Amino acid sequence: MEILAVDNISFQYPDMDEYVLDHFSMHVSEGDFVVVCGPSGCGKTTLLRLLKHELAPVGKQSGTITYAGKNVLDYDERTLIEDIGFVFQDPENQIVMDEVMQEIVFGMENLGYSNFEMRKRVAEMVHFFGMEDLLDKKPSELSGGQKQMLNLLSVLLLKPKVLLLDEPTSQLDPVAAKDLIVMLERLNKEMGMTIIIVEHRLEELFAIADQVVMMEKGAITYKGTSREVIESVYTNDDKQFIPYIPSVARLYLSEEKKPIQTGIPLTVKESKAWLASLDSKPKETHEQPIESILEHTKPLLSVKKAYFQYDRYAPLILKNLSLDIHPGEFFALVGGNGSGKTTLLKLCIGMIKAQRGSAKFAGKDIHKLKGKELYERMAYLPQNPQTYFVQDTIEKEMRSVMEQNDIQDGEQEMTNMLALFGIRHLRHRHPYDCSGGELQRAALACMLLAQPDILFVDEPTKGLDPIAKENFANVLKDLHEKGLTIVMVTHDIEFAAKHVERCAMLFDGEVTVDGTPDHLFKGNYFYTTAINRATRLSNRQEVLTLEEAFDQW
Amino acid sequence: MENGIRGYHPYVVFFYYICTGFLVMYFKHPLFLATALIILICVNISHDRGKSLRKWMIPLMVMSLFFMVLNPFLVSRGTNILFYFRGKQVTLEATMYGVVMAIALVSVIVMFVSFNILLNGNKFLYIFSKVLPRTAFLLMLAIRFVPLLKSRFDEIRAVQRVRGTTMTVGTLRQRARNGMYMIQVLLTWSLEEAIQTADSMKARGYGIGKKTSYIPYRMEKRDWGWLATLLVLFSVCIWGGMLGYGKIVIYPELGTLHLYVLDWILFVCMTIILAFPLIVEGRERLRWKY
Amino acid sequence: MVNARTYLIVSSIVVLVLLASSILFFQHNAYLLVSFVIIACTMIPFFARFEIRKITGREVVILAILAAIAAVSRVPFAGFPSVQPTSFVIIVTGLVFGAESGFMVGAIAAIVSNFFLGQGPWTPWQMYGWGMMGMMAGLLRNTWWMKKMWGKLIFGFIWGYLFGWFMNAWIVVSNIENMTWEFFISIFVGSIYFDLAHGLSNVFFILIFSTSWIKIMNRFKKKYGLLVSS
Repeated sequence: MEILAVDNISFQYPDMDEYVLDHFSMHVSEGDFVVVCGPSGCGKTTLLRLLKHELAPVGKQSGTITYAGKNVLDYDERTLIEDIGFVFQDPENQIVMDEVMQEIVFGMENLGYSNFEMRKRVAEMVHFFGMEDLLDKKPSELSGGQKQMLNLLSVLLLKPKVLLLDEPTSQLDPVAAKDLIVMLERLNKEMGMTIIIVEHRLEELFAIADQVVMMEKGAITYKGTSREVIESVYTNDDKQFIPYIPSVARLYLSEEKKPIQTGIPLTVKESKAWLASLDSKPKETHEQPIESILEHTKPLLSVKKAYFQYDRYAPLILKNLSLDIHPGEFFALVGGNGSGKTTLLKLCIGMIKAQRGSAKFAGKDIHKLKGKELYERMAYLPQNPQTYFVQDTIEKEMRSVMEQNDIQDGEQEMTNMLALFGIRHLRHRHPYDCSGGELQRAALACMLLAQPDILFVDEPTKGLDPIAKENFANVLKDLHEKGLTIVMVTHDIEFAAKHVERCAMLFDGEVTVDGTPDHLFKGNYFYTTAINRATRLSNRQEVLTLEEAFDQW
Repeated sequence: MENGIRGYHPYVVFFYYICTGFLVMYFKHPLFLATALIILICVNISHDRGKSLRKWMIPLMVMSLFFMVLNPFLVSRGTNILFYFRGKQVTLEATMYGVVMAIALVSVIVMFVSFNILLNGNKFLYIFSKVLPRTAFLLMLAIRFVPLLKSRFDEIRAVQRVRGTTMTVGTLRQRARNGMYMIQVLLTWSLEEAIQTADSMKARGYGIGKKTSYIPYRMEKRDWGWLATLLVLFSVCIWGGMLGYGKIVIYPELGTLHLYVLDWILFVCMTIILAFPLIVEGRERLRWKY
Repeated sequence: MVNARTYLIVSSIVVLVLLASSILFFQHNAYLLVSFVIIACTMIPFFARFEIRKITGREVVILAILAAIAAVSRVPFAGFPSVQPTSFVIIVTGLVFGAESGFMVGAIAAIVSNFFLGQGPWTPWQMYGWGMMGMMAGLLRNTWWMKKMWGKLIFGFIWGYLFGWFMNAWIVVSNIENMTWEFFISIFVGSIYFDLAHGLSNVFFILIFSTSWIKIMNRFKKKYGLLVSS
């Protein structure tokens, strides 16, 4: 039975010329799992908000949205609030109350449920989610993944028939993202809930989805089952959407001599089955020696036997940690949540001081650096680039940097920088009116005016769509080639594996392994790329990235 | 369910604090006040072994010293002159007043420390959400935002430190300016993010009609029992106080400190009221032991 | 607007009259208690109005975040006891979002910051002081001199003192039996430095930041169409 139908919807925001949605139509059957994707600004979030009537943006709208056979405009508010649930992107911002239990019942309280009904639903769903232990906590004590689960639970207590999710995993680490997707799969399979999810991270979703919709400029570009969409994107060689396709599927379509649609592998299990059918090729077991050129130069940044804890009774976050960064390196630090990545980064920029051991930048204690020694030599791109901007346009921000650094022919320099990062059109824009990717590049442009020696980057791929990710990687590569030392903290293994020279894995406050991506990731069960998981112990050479496969096979 | 006094209904606990606060400011007899102070300190110790109270030790000492020492030297009212200091009379009355005032004030603050522990955020709001639901909700939201804002501010501080904007170097002016710049970033950023919070409220039906409340607390027999007991004892105290018992005359001349029978009755009533958390905790502990 | 102004005038007069007359009426008996009751009664109309007024969820959230920012702004300035950023945030809120919002943010900020610094008998006084500061800023925002920078500076400076005096008042009130002129004066003399610092820090912040803060809040108000009428 059809539960949601979007017919010929067009939508335009008040002061914009273009339509965000342009004669868009989509039909969803009850129990469907629909994945919607597309580059930022393609109208997918607007679509989702139009489906959730209370959140519908203000603007010019035509066309109809039908829910369960009736136009949404004809429903009373209450039914729609109950029947259509919405989970937002940011786990933290959605939480309203100061206690987990209060948050869970927030929706039910608003809708005036009886105490009996509330207790019944809470007992059932909290158990289903296994969240009993968290009930007495404060939301601020939860991890990002737990927060997002809490948000999902809180929405589910209204017993929605349709669940809408707007990039729910984009702010989570891979483990938490996986947990959330598994939960969604369960809800879909065990309770028959209709799910519409907008997401960039598709590797796991393709295997679950009944319907995939790829959007561009307010209209549908591809639509169908996962395999149909993958095949047509691949055969059209559509540069816009190829990056969305899981790497194993791409590998299949390029390596398989006679690819058929039903044979496209979506899971590691299917990939392994396919790889087993390939003829085996001799494997070269060349152990690359770790590049030792770098070892001879004097390190730019050097952390020696550092210990750190937030207070005397708190556990040690960093334990006997040593790390050298050499000039000109592109280095990534990977590790799970709570492994001490963020703390190490704070140590490297001098926000904290190690209790024992030292952290030195060009021979000086970092936490003692101030003024010029800092802003002329270091740059730090945080997870939320908004925190960088003080002025109300990007141009003003750049000017204030130039003033601080006494840059002479500033005008020229500024234009170059804007061009280099491809953000000339953002010059007079308010930083908060830019998308995540644009904001990142704008912040980088400002920072690099000062020509620093080292750049720290914290989780740069969070919330970026695959194209923006590629763009950002290219920017970093350019800078690296020009001699900038880059230190990146990330849990995006695919990104690290593809782009950096050297990696270190942090576990329990120590650097456990340190080497090239090859050394670090190959052979891992979980902490590696999807394509490596599939090709490990197969008939072919084990690879870490798609490019490597094309190269070696 | 929490143990001991924390397991009681917030209304009862709140009423306890109303009685306590009232009585501490009501009675003026040094014996009454000193006893009240000792009991309240014990109450605090019973909550968390006096951990939160310890942070208040120094300000409390300073404050009570301020009243005890300064009052006789500043105020020359009273009849019984102890001695002269720089030509001004230092009176017994003013000294006595200083002592009484200091103990009363310290008691009130000690009471508030305990109040902060027992009626933390949600219970406090629970009490007010019946009378002023929207204000209580606003307050709750603001409290919920505080840890979030603090962590955001730390993030901003890290980023701005690398940009050369810090609050640790420079003149007072520069530091204050840098500090406010960072709060400005916090403002711009948080306003933007807050819209999502509002949307999430709307998506879950905030403001569409009459709210019910998921009641985590239920008035049980023992709650009613204690409420009644407190009420009766409190009325006795008020009544006695209106007749002038439990108080002393300080100005213009210090009256007698002698306690009459009715004074003793009030004293016992007050002690029982104040010791309510101690009685509850004590009984529970005994039950565990035997 | 008219409503709010009437409230303010009436309540201020009521407070003064009641505070003064109750000295005689209660004959110094439990005067601190009485003063609490009076303060509570004066603030109730404001809260009551907030309860019944039409207001969207977004507006509630914005007021909450402003109050939280006002309270949190004390944290980085903890090392500078003479700098008082909370007042600045409240004044700007009043200027941009109007009298009622200014009052709510001021009053709530007082409670919130005391949740972390410690509640005490001073909480109601602080609520009233900061609430009035926000409200006055809102009431006067459309006068010609308040639109000028110097008007705002004078406003901020004066309120540094008014707030300080108001906070002294609770010491006075709790000591009313004991009150002599010397005592009274010594309290106010003792606080001169702090009030001056408060006034000057208001002036400093308003001078450097008020323009950009008002711009930020107005941009936001326009972007989401918030709290336009109040």
